[in-house]
Amino acid sequence: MNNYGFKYTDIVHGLFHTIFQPGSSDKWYNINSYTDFLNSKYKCPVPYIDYKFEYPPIIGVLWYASTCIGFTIGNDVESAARINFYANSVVLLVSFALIVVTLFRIRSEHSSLNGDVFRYVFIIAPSTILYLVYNWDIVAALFAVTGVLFFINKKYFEAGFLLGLSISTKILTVGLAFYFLVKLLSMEERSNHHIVKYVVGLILAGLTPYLVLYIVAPKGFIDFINHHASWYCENCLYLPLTKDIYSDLNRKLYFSIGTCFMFLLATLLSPWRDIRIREESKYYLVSVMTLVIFNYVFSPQMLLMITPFAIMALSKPQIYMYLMADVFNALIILLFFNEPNPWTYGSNTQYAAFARNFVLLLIWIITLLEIIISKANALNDAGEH
Amino acid sequence: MLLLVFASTYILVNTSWSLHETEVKRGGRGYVTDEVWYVSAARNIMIKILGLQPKQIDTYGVTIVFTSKPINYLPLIKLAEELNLSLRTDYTKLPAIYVNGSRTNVEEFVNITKSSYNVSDVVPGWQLPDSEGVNDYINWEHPPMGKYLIALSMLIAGDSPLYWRIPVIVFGVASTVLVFLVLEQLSGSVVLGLAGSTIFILDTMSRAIFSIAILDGYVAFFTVLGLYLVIRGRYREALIASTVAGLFKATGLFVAIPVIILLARNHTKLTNGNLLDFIYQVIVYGLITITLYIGLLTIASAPIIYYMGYSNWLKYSLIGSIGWHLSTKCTTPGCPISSAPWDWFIGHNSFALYIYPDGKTLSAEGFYPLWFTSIVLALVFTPLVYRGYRVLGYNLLFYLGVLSGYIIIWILGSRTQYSFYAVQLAPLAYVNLFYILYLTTVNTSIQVEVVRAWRTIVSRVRDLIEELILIKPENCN
Repeated sequence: MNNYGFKYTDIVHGLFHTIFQPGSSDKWYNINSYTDFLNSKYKCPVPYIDYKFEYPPIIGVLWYASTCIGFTIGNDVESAARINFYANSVVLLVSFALIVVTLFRIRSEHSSLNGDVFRYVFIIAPSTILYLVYNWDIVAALFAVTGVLFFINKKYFEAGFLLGLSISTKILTVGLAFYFLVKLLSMEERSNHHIVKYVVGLILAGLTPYLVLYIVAPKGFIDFINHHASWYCENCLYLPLTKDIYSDLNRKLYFSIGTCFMFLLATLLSPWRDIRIREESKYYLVSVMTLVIFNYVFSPQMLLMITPFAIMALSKPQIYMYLMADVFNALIILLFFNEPNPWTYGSNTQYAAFARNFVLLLIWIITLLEIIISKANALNDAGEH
Repeated sequence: MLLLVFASTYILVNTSWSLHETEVKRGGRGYVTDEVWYVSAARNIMIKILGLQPKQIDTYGVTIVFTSKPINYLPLIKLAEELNLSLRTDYTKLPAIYVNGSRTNVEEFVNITKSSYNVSDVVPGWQLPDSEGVNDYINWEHPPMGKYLIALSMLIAGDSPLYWRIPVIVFGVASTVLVFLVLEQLSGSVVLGLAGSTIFILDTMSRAIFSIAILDGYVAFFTVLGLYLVIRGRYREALIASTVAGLFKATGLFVAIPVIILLARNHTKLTNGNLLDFIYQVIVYGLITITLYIGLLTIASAPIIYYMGYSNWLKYSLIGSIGWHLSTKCTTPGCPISSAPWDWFIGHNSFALYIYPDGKTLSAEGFYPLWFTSIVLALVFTPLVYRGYRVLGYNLLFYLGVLSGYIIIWILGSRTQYSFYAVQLAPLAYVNLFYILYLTTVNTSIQVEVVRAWRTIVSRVRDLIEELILIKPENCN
């Protein structure tokens, strides 16, 4: 337990300290605001406007509220950090609880889904424990999972809206939102009314927050984009190939594979008529997985966005495989602080990341093949009848 | 259609003009990337071989090349001031100066300079680039057609960057129209044609290459022309288009790969032939292509042959060209970044065409996510060709056939290919992407056919492997 990896959280160490500790003026846009903040005259600085903030707008709002509470109640930076952490932890823990509830609800409403209760234990996998109150990925996962629930219950506006919120929390769930759009468009009994409802909800919660952010804080928005666009390969799948975390190829491969997958999803892999939720849950999984595991930034906490869908979609042996990936994923942070250069190729941390990525890639391939086979069978049957 | 022509013209002229403006602002010489070689060669062919003069508008300029760099430029600077001429003396690799002003005064300046300095050459027209020996450079390793067109533009319109680029811009617009026509012909959908051709000309690769006077844009035009002719069933004309493409740059001949296959297959089918007949036909059409190409190249190169002698032309332009295309060129530090053909689909190792004053780079790089998607879809959908999707087959044969040309020369030794070569694939990549998108949208059964086709392939490969490793149950007979 002396391992710093157990204590580290992005919320406190990666973000709060780098913004609010004395000597972090380079993060701030206006030196007067920064001075006022240091002198406790300004207790509620605004992300994107007063200082650089690299997270999407929903987290920006949450962060603004939690830091404001922290600095208003706390006596100094340390106590504010603690309060901020507790406030965020409450949100994250509640999100987790709601995910569990939602997953059970989907299971109870749709009997064709992989049914054994046992698999739900895996949601408390090592990575969930380590990374739950670490970053906000679980919030994005919650919006995505509830979006799925609403979609399968044919509440398209709500589904679009929740998936939009998920995109405004962590962009990477956009693949799932795209899948549902493809599904609505490719349905034989296509209803424009449903499509419009879904798209309006999606735009309202998934695009508007970014637009508002761009209008209110253009500099903060550009810096947010640039931050992600210029980020290095963080535990990414391509490192054994490029061996250079700064290689442009890492990013290019991600955008190429991501776009290609979207095209395939819209063409060859589009869902078929009367698809059962058991098969469809595989689509959910690969839609989320593709944009996460092929990303040039695959931070360990991002696995939390995949886990709920893995539980829904994978067979029992596959769940064990996933658990293996989860353990490797947990190892990343535990190894990270025990070596001088954990980011680079050849470090123990990167071996753990490689093992995780490899297992996840296998699961991704298997799931994709299962989708293709199921689709071929379904279309065959449809053709025969 | 008219809108497409206007829009693509605007896009290309605007890109070309903005490059020119940037060069003027930074005090550059106006050449972008290999224009240094092709435009200089075009000017040299025009002046030294054809005995013509480039048209100069408003002012008259000459580059005066010395046998060695003069020690003192001061008298020349003073003379230029006296004659009210602008003078440029900042050449480092080429011992030269550039003088510009009224024609009479420039001629007087040249006469005085000749009497006081060892002048080896006087080249009228736009200032020469600062490259050693560029005043004599003819670019033997590439066929002359592209340079003739640049020279023609210099002769008719004038010798300045925007005018050099007129022919390639025209070919760019024509290529856009052909992409539209091909897609419209394949699908019957005007919307698809418009979408595909618009993305094609907005692609950074097409936009950049069709805006500067290098040879690859011409090759791309004849490539898409070849495809258009093939889908219209005019294989022989397509073969001619491929040989004409080769008159601009030898890589244009890659277009002949799919066309020869189609011609040979047609002939074999008509005569109820077998595989050997097909191979024989491939050889016959291959020889016809080579003969046609050498014949046309000889005619097109007549002035150059006259200038350098037949044996030299044969040595440098024909045999030397083959060696040049199959060689690994510049690899030392400071050389431009080269790439393998598969790099082009992920925008890896892209060639820097131009570095702007703020450090940003204009790279020969397409919208690589779309290029990557296009090649993946091409590979995934290839088995459909054997399930009756003949029209798709034409495009895939062209796409993969031309690409295979680059891969073959890479295997044979051309390890320093540059990403701007890929503009030849740009129309094919977008035609393929949009056509497959169209097919899968209008025909959902195609999805199951793809899966079935792959299932058949996998099972055949499995059978073959089982036979190879002797685990397949032997036939009782």
